[in-house]
Amino acid sequence: MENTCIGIVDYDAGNIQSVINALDHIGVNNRLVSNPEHLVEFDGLIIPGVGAFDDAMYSLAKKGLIDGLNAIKGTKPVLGICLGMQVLCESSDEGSQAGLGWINAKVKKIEASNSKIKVPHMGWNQVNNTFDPLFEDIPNHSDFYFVHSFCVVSEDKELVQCSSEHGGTFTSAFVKDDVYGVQFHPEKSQDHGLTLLTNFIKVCHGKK
Amino acid sequence: MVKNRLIASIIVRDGRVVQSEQFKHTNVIHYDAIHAIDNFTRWSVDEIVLINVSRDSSGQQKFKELLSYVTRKCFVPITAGGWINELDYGLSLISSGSDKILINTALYENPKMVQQLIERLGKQCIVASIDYRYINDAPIVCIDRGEKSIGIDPVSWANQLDSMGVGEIYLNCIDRDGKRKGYDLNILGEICHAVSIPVIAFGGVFRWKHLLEGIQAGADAVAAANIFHYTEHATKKAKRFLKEAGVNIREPRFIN
Repeated sequence: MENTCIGIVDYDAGNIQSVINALDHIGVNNRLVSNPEHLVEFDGLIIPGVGAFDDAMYSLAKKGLIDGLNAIKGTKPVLGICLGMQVLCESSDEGSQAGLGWINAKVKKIEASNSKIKVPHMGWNQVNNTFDPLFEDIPNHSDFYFVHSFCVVSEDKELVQCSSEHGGTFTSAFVKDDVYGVQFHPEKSQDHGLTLLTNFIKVCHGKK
Repeated sequence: MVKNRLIASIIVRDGRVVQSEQFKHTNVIHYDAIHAIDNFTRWSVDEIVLINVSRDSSGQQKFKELLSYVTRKCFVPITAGGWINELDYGLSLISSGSDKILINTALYENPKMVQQLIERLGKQCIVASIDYRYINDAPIVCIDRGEKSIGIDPVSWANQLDSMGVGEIYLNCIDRDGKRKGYDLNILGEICHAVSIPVIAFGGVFRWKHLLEGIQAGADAVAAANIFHYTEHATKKAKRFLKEAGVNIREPRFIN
C-alpha cells in the first residue's frame, strides 16, 4: 500500500487531525485536499466532519468541492465519517441545504424517547450486521465510538447497511458502489477502527 | 444502547503528571503522560481527559505541545482543558488533536466565548466542568481552580449550562478530590436526572465499587485519576469489575 495516497477532504469541519494521526499510524500516505482540481490525484477520499450540516454544505460549496466531488463520483472509493457520512445523503432535518444526494437516505434528529436516551449520542455502541470488505476481520457487534445528534435513516432496501440502536434503530454504516459512510469515528475506535480504515485503504489500493 | 464509559483523567502541571488532592497538586507521578495514555488505552479505557493545572497561563503552549505529542498515538477520544481563556486557544487544542475541550472558569466569566466555541465546533465538542465544594453545608460552584465561589448551587448551574448548549458535564466535588471516599452521590444523582446531556462523575474514587456507585446514581461515564496510576492493568480491572456487576460497558481486554 506504499504507493496508495488518501486525500482527506478539508472543508474546515474540525477534527481532521485525528484522521491524519490514524492514517499516519497505519502508515499510508495522506494529504489534506481543499482544491477541487486536486481530487483526481488521490486513490481514495475521506470526508471527515464534526459540526452542523448546513455549515458543512456551505463550506463545501464555497470551496467548489460539491462540483468537484460530483465530478469524481464513481472513479474512486470515498469514505464519509460522521457528518461526512451525512453529507452523502439527500437532506438533513438539521438544516435546509441539500446534501450531495449520492445515497438514497435522509438524516433525522435522534429521538430522546425517554430520559435515559441522551442527545448527543456519545460513547461506545455496537454496530450490527457488518459487511465486508469494510468490516473484514472485525467481529460483528463490535463497539465503535459515536458522537452525533442526527442520524441516517434509509428506506432503500438495496442499500447495504449496518445498524445501531440509540432511541431507535439507525444506519451506522453503509456502502453503495464504493461510496462508504460510517456514523461512528473509526479514528477514535481503537483497534477495530484502525482495522476498518486499513480495510478502506485496501479497497482504494485494489481499485488503482 | 450506548454504553457507560470509563474515563481516565490525567492531570498535568508543567508537562508532568501530578496527583490531585483537594486541588493541591503536589505529588509528581514519575512517568510522563504518553506512558499513562499508552497503558490506559491498552487496558481498554474508553476515553481520556487531559487537564492542565499549571499555576498560570504561561503553561498553555507547553500543554498544547504535549497534547499534539500524545494524540498522535491515542485512538480513543481525548478531551483537553485547563486555561482555556481565549477563543483561539480553545480552537487550537482541537487542531492539536483533541476531540473535545473541557471548560470551567470561562463558563461563568466568558460565556460569549463559550457560545462562539459551540458555534464553531458543535456542542458535542464542549465539556463543561463543574467544581463545587460545601460551604456551611451547602454545595456551591467554584471557579478559578476551585478558589472563587460563584454563589450558585451545582444543580442550578448544570441546568443553566445545559440550556447554554454544552455537550457534556464533568462533575467534581472538590471536598472529595483525592479523598478516597467515592463520589458525592446525592448531587451527582440530582444532576443526572435534571439535565438532558451526558454526565461524567469525577473525584474521590479509591475502590472499583465507587465507580459502580456513580453509574448507579445515573452517571453516563465515570472518571478517576490517582487510583489508575498505581495499579497494574488498572482500567481493565476496573472495567472487569463493572462488567461483572452488570454494567453495560465495552469489553475489557488487552488491546495492542
